[in-house]
Amino acid sequence: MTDDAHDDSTYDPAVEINSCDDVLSHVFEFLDHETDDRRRAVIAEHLEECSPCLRQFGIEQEFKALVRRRCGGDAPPPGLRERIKLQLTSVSFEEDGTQISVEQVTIERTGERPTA
Amino acid sequence: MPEETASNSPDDQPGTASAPGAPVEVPEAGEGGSRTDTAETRAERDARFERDALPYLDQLYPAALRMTRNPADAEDLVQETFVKAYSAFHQFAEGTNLKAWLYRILTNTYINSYRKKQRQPQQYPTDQVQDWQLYAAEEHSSSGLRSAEIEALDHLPDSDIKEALQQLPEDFRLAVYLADVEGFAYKEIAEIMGTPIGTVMSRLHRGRRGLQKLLGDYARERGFVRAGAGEE
Repeated sequence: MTDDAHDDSTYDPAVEINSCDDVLSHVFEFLDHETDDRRRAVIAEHLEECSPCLRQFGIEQEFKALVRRRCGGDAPPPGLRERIKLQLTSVSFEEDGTQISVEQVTIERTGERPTA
Repeated sequence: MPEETASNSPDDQPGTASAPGAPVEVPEAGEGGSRTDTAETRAERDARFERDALPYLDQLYPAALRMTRNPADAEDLVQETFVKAYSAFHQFAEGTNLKAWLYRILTNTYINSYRKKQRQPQQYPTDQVQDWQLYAAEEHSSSGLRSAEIEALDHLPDSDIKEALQQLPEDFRLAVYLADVEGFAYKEIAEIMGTPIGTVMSRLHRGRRGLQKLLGDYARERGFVRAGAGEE
């Protein structure tokens, strides 16, 4: 993974916040409610006095809201819930037998797959 | 055939049928809760599963759709997820985080079974944003979007926004989805994806910046942002 270089050592609660760059580098943690109380207070205090930073935080918050509003909520296809319930019933029957097999004919529409 | 699940009896240790090094297929329930497999009848457990787990279908389906990028695979993935969850439900301790548990099964099932056999890998012409493009995005907009740009993004159709998300490399896409759409905490995302929290933060940062770059480009292509607009 290319991003594994960023391990937990990049998160240091003791990092000082002295500048707009410092504040902006924590915008996501702040908006995700992942900052500890002390850092949160320092950032909030900065935002009260710094309108460019406050504006940027507002933009990031709007962006999060946009993703939330627009990227989820696709309705499951009609009947999927019933098909799942039916499938679970057959799983249940098979488990009651001597041989347990979760053979799923209904999901096997994806063609050939490589045998691992 | 789904051979690795076919051999997975409910009494197996979770993940024993998975390929070596693969993520644990069905995570153990939290240690704090009490296992109910002896005290609960089959009928009671079935009722509990239908009452507690099945309603998450409405959330798992769109997540599966973002992962697989097509409805048929998403439906298969969700079905397989519920079968695995059902088979392991006696291990799930009430009072622990059912939603995160289901998402972890969904994610592991996707990684183990679906990622390598995507039905239409070339469905999108520029299938995935390359790493260098994400780095470029960070260079370009390390301070994020401008006011004029975020306003323009609101005019984009849902299809553009979903397509942009789907162009992100899947680790980044999933982190952004879990955080912004599902509202999971970093710690929960770390458990679902099986990575350290620092990695989650890095993926979120780069995923969001990459998504902003893509959407900014879409908005400009569609004429929602004038060239040069937004320079403050």
